[in-house]
Amino acid sequence: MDYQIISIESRKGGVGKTTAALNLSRLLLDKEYTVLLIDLDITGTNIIDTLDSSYWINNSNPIYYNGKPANLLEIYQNSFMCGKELPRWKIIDNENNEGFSIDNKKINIIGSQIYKEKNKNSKNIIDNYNKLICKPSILFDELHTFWFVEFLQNICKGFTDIINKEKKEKIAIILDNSPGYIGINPSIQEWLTDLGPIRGKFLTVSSLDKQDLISCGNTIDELHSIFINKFNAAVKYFNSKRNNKEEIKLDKGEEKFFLRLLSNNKSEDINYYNFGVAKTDNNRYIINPSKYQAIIINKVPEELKFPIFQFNFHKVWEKREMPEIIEKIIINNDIKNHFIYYDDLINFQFDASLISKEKHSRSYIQQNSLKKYFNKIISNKIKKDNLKKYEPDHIKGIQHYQFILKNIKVFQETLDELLEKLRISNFQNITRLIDKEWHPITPFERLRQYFIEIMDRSDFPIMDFDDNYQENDNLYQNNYLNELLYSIEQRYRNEEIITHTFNDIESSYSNKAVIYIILAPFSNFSPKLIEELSEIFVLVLKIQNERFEKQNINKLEQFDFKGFLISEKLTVNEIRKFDEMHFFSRLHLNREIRTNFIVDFYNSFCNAQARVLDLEKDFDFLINVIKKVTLDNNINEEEIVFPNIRDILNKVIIDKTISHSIANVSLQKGFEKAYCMQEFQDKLNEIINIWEIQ
Amino acid sequence: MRFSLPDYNEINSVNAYFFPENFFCFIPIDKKKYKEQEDKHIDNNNTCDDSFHELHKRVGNEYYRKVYPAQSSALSFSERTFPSYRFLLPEILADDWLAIVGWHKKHSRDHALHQPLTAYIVYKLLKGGLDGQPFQIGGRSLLDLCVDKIFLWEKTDYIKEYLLQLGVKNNDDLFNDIPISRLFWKSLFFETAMVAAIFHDIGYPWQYINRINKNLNVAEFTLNNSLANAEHILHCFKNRLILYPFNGYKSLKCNTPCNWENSLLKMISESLTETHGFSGSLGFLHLNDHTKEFPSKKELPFHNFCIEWAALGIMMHDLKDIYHGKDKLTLPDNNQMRLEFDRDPLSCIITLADVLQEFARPNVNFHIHEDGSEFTYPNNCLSSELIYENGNLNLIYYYSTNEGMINKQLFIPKEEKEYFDLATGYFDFSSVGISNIEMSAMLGL
Repeated sequence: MDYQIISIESRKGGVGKTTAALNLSRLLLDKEYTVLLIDLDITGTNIIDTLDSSYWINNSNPIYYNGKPANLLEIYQNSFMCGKELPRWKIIDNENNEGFSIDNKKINIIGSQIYKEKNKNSKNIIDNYNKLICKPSILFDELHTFWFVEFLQNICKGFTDIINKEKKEKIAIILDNSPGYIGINPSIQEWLTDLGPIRGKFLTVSSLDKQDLISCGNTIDELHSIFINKFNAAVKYFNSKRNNKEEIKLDKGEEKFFLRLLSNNKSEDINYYNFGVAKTDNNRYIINPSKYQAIIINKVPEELKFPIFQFNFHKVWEKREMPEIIEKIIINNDIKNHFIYYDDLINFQFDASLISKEKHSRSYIQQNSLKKYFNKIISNKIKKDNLKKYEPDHIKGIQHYQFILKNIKVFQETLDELLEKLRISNFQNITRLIDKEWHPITPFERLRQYFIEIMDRSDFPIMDFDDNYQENDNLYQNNYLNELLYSIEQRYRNEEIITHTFNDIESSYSNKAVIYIILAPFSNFSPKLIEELSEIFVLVLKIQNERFEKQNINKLEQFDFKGFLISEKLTVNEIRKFDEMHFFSRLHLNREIRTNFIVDFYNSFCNAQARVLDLEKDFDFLINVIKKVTLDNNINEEEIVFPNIRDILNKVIIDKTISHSIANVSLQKGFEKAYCMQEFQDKLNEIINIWEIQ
Repeated sequence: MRFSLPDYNEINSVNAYFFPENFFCFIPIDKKKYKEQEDKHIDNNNTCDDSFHELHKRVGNEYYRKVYPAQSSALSFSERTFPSYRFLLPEILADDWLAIVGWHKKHSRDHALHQPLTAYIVYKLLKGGLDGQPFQIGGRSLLDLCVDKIFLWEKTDYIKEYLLQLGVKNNDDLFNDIPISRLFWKSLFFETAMVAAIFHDIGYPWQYINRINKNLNVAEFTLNNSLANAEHILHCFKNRLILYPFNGYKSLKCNTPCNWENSLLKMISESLTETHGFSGSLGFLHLNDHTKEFPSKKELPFHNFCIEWAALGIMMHDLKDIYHGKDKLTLPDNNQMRLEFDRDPLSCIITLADVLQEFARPNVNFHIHEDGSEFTYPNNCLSSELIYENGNLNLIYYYSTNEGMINKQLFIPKEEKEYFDLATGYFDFSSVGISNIEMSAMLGL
């Protein structure tokens, strides 16, 4: 069994340490590592609270303790320091909530926070104000940091032992440290350098700020010195053991480790130095510190991505302000290989004097106004004129639905054509995701499947229908479909279902549009089937109406209608009530399957209803996203799968919790973040390759 | 070699003066017990912050600016060597002020500043100042001389015996004088000496209590019987290194006379009331014992030894009165406790540094006038110097005022007699070729 412990360091707050830690975790997860991410920024935000995108939530496993997300500091203070046994690690299961549960397929995360959890029941403000689990002045004294690291070692050992039992060999533990060089950082560095450069790695995250860079450079230098001192001390120790009469000359910094080897050389933590020094190839870590250290320079202005701008890193070097070691850890001797382009908060994260136009022009100050050059979209190959605008207020009756279908047809053809091109161009990630999740037609296809199932399982003979409805112009004159809509309307009235709580126009339009879209491909409905289908639709509408009625009107008004349709999921228990009322007895559907079937059908119907209200905008939005991903020179298709973009698309198209106008604004930010994430992934990938982490 | 507050500050400012950290932590600590102490400390509202604040109010800026950094570094060092010190520090600081302003001779002492400055002297003697040149006797560094004596394993055999009891193997290379073990012992010696020096006067508050108790005992009011205390101490610490000097630096063995225990109890009882060294070493050991994890797999014999050895140094720096007995002019009552350099070099260094540390110690001056009274905290002694020349060791104290110089000169004959008399003085440096030690006070910087 082997494991890596990677410490993410920074000297300044807000430079993207946690982002780096999460991306590194994800990268290692993709490489089939079992990953534990430990949040050590105890005075900062709890990492668990920052997982605000569905991507990270879906891909992470927050470690729970006593029924709530574990707080490392609370466990340290209330268990470890009180001599109690630490929670045991186990592989996740649903039976037992005791201990820490590991999910091999997700990033296991332990959060930390110095503030106590707020007492929600207390009315006394003081109870909730400024309650620290432990005073930082106490926690950060040398003794407590020593114990805190001992505590961390116990946590890590428990984790590696249990994974070892599972016979999984790839384990990575990532420490998301607090910024600066106070608190536990020195002890963490001591611990990881004890482990040696094969197991203990350091990733320093800096901004372009000169002071920050120099400070990070010094950190890297200091870490290397600690390692070299330990290495040399070990070499001298073993030499003196072999030849005990030879005088020992220890350089400053070597004595401490030399004496440790002398008085306590049985500690497992320093095995690397006990057994490793004999291996000659270990010298490579001294010659080449990039084998265990790396730097990421985050939040670099996007303008620096383009050739007309340059960052004169050498200006920092020339004055010898930057330690020489930095040159050794820079990939291909180009600092740009460590840049992450993302300009959030950039105004105070970099030193503008070091950035200039090529040939040393001093016009950099106007960076923001120059942005437009680089945000220009090369060309818009999708002719928007082809997309006929749908104007519901001016079109009445059955023509209305036919018109919708025609528009959808145009949209779908455009989108499908695009998707086909993407497939040919190896943009599988996007096409797969669009087909599976965001394609505006997806929920209708699903509903259509339900109807095929109904017809399969009902007593009625299967009617002829044409799957390829798009090619059949006569389809839109389908009288049976009109008959069905009429029948539903009649039944709807007979059941006296009258809705007051939501917009009638919207609901009526959405109900009928959904029915029309999903049933349009079918033809030659028999009267009995129309009757049966209308029963099902009316049932669905009745349930839906009851649920609306139940809602407090004021409360409902706070929700977007579309969001409401999506979020109010029906459950099996609820549907049983209708079963008891013998409502289903009129259906010919097989009784055994109908409960679950109706629940699924209802939920899909609601989704489709919400989707139909936005069909045109959804198509437009999606095409816009694809355009950005595929046509913009600087965007990689991988970016669309990044959490923030996925999240926006989910919220807009699937969850309906964000309007298109808001989404378009946040999309721009989202893409910026996505490039940043992609760069993180690319650069971190390169780093871990150099680190020889396979 | 000259010692002064400006020199200490200069060494501090270039970060050359640092506390060693090679043997961190000395003992495995039971975190539960430590936390109990810590919680109690916080609950009592008796924190170091408050104590520093109160001291500041009482002594004013000038003296406070000397004490605060010195004690802060001591506090930081204590985290590695004596974790419970932080719970004791408020008492040390409170006592310090009482001691400075006290008019009673016996209570007139200071230690909040004195202890770190004594540690500085130890540091400079053993490691050298900014020039890196340690104190030398006969061309050999003092630290090497100390380790030379240890490696003889003659009079220092008790150290080996104690280490073997702690679990060090007899065949360990570290008992042989080879480069690797010399380096080890030099570091161990230096580190322990620094620990002993910085905490050497923590026994003052206890001595004060014990003295009051003794006075009450005389008046047949037994609040706390010192003999009963002595019995308890002997019972608890009979196997510990601090009791070795009472037996002539030996452990109690089968050849110990049956009536020796009575003598031992008497010495312990007297040590409790007459010295602060013994109380200090007991406090140091007990507080460490109290938070020690036991039994523990993490215990390391040499690390553990540092505690015991430092306690020995804390005790011996102030056992002069027990050694001499009541009559200082006759032969010593307890000659077996004499501080011989070849037997207990560590205690010798601490005691020498303690004797040398006179500079920057404050005296309070009260001035009464019609509107009330004023007070200041001047310090008369500016620096001290240690010179070795042809078998002679000279301790010179430099004063800024005639008054201070004359006052010191009045005490010198008594101190020379008690500490440095060749035949009966507490110190015996003859094993390193020092035949004469003299003290002098003069005007100067």
